[in-house]
Amino acid sequence: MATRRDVLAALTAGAAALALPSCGASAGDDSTLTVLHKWPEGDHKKYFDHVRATFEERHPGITVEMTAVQDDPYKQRIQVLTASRTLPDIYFLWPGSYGEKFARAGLTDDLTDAMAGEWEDSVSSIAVDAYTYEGRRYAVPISMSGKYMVANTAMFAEHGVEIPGTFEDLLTVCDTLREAGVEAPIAMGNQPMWPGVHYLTSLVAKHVPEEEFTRDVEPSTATFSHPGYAQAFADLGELAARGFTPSANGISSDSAKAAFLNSQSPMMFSESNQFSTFQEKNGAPPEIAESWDFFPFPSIPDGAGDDESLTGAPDGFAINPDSSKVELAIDFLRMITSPEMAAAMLEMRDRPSVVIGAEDRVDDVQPQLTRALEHLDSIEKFNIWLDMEAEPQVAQAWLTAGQAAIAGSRSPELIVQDLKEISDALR
Amino acid sequence: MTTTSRRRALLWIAPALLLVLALMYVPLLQNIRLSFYNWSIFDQEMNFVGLKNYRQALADPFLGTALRNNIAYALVSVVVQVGFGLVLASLLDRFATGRLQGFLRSVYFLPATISMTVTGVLFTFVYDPNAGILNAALEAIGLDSLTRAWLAEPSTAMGSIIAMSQWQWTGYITALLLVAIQRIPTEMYEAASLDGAGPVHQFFAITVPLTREMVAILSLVTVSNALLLFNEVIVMTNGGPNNSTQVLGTIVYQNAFVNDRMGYAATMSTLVLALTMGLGIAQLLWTRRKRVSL
Repeated sequence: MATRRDVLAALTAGAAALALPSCGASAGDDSTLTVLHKWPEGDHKKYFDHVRATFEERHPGITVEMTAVQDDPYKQRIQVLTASRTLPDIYFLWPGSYGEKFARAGLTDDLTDAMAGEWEDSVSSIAVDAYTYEGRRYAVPISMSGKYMVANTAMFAEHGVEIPGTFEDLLTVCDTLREAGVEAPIAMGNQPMWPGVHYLTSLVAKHVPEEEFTRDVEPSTATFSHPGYAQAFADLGELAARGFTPSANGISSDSAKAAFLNSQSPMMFSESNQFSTFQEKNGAPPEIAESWDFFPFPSIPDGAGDDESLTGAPDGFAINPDSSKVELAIDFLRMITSPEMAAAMLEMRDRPSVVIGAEDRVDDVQPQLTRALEHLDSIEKFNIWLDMEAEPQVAQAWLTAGQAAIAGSRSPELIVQDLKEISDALR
Repeated sequence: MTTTSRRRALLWIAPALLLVLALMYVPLLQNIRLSFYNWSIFDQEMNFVGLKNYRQALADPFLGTALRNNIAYALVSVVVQVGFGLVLASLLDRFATGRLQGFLRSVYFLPATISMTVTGVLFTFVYDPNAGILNAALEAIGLDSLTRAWLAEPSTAMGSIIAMSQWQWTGYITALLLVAIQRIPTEMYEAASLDGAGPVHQFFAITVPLTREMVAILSLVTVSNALLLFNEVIVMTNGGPNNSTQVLGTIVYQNAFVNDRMGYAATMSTLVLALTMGLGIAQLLWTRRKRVSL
């Protein structure tokens, strides 16, 4: 007969085993503020540790529990947390339709009133606008970044070429460099597919009028009828054939970056938040650190779109409206966007803050970064990454479209048709 | 067994049984249930759609590509890992003895100890069109015409991923088969050679039938691993170029975590489950009938 001891032992073992998976769920007590973001690496971690320590110091008795996961796993994590409605108090959100979905579903606290006035005025208005849905602010931007072409000025001088002003000039510069023996005038690694979409984001913005584009982002109204789309794919194909690293689709973005840093390729489409990596103290070779410059994506004067816009996006944090600590969370975001923390971000992470004038509080900002920040301040609208702006299935189609255009394996018109078919299927 | 001791035994396995039920079978049933619904994470309501997801899945062009890729992976893996692995194991057993055998076994086994993600990254370098050693090797032996961007061309991308997996797992399977071969009494080979059977004949008449059960189990494992393929693809091509390397695992993942179509993803995974189970049952039945015992 089963003794009582057996029963007890079996039950205890079972209960212990069943209890295991349930622990480690998000903390719900009132003294812990939970934060989830996507910057787990070195300097970012140091910065966020600093933020946490400062906040805990100013709010005795409060613990900040911060979790950081990288880009792709982040999307997965947030998906699961959303599905189970166990979002942390504060979480990172991409702008564009990605973030708007959270706002529409009521998963973000309305920050319009909290931000109105001084707070809103202290940060870049394009960044705030990027996190606005139907006139309401759903997240607080903290940093921002714009896409710029970077150029190795020593190589430019060696081959006698100038910084190109128009897209045509850029193609000519590529031809000249190739004739001079530079195999890959523009370092490009499109294996992860987003680099191609970053080019497309700029090209589509320059070729397609904003109202047409806005209509086409929404599958129920999309027509993709503007010829600018096909032109954007044709331009990308042309640039790939004349300028990109050969077989760019099979090359990782890191290898492409290495080709630029090793002076094999004189140009690359980079981002202002990457500028710090061209500094010698961050591992860049001295030849690059001393002679590099940047320029906005060249102009397409006869394009039907907005030639002045810039591809880029802010990074921001939303607050979970179901949190019991909304006020505390607002305080936290207010602190991150305070001038001192913004300066610390620039100093520790080399990441441009959205706070206006943050760079004035830091001593040795890279001159290039200072100029990029000035340029960013002059921009009126960000073109948000197409793969974040479009509906997920269409975003996937944009990624594939970039590869097809670069490989030249499909005509621009057919690529547009592919996109339209996928978008139409979502009606 | 008496009733009492049976009851006691049941009690002792109860925790494990409960765990298996709670962590495996309940989610499995939930997944099947979910496959009849449409569910977006932003909308807490689940809408019953009946068989709509299944109809859509069967017409999904990605499903065809994925199935083709998974099947190709499975076929190549069974032939190379199990088939060639058996030949390799029998060669090791015959011609390499003592320390040499131990050394070679370790050498072949080594790739299996590297994490799949690391292997994926490693082979992205091997296949790199400009700096990769594969193209460099081809050029060195004058086969310049064969060099290409292995992972960037739809026609070669899946093959490249499959080839990498063979490199990684053949040694592992060989090591397992070697154990099975070493269990065969040497007298059998001695008797066969006295009867005039050469090494090749001995391989087919003794080694193959007597390792059949191990071969069957390893084939089953290889095939089900092929259907669960995911990491290698995500690391090396992310399903590209032009969706040519999509496999069942990546389309389930993409629908669930990128496209926010949980119900549809559940449908896809139910189809994968049905396929794996069907194959598993068929394979087990087939080998049971052909079992040879010493």
